[in-house]
Amino acid sequence: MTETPQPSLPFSNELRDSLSVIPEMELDDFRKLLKAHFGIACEPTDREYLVRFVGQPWDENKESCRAISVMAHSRGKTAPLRLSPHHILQVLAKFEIPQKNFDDAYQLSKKRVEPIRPSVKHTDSNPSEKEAS
Amino acid sequence: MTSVTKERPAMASTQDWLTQLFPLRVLGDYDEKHGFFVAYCLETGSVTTADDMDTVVDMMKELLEDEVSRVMMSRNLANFFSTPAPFEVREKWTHLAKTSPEKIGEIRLDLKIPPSEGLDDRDTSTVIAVLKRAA
Repeated sequence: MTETPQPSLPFSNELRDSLSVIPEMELDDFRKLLKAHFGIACEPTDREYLVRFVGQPWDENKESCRAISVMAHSRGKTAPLRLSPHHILQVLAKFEIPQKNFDDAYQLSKKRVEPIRPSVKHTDSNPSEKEAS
Repeated sequence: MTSVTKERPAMASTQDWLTQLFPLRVLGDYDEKHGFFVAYCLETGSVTTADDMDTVVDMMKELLEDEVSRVMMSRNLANFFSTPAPFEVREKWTHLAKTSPEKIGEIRLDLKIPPSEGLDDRDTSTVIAVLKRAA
């Protein structure tokens, strides 16, 4: 029997576009983002590279509860533990989070940096107050 | 931690397939854009990624053992089957299964279900069918 060449079956444009927009993320950053912006809890397991995300009402025995196990890329052999766009898209689908909402949350989480010297920054940005005092 | 995945070349018997707990199918593929391997479970939508095909399939076995063991405890089938893999993944599976049925292998899951659930080995038998798409 001769081998018949298998034509490539690429993902659809829609899925491919989603995968190219969604970033790769560290598991810890993704966990924090889901908790802060979407109220999704993250339960650790006996393995560092495997976590369980649980949504409202945070009780898996209830039918309305959505939960998913996620395993970091290559079982976390590369430090830090990383998630691919494939993982992230699957989590968004599980918890019915629109990609736009995730993008907004991701941008916010990237900008959230604690100022090194907030008091100095505050004084500089309000020169009129400085003069008045 | 990499366990050895015992893979058989084809379905042992139709009876095994029909009476098992959850018939699950897994497609292993290569993501050219990101440069790593990805495995999808068609029924649950579970995803694993790794740098080689054997690891990505072995990770999927481990992930599904966790998912199936949990659903046996919670009995929340609505959650278990809520997000199947994208339709494109199903199309890939169907195409490969039709053109290369001899490449369909199977892996038995080692489930961790407490005896109090009242299930024996036959009730908890779960075999996943695996197809690996060449890179």
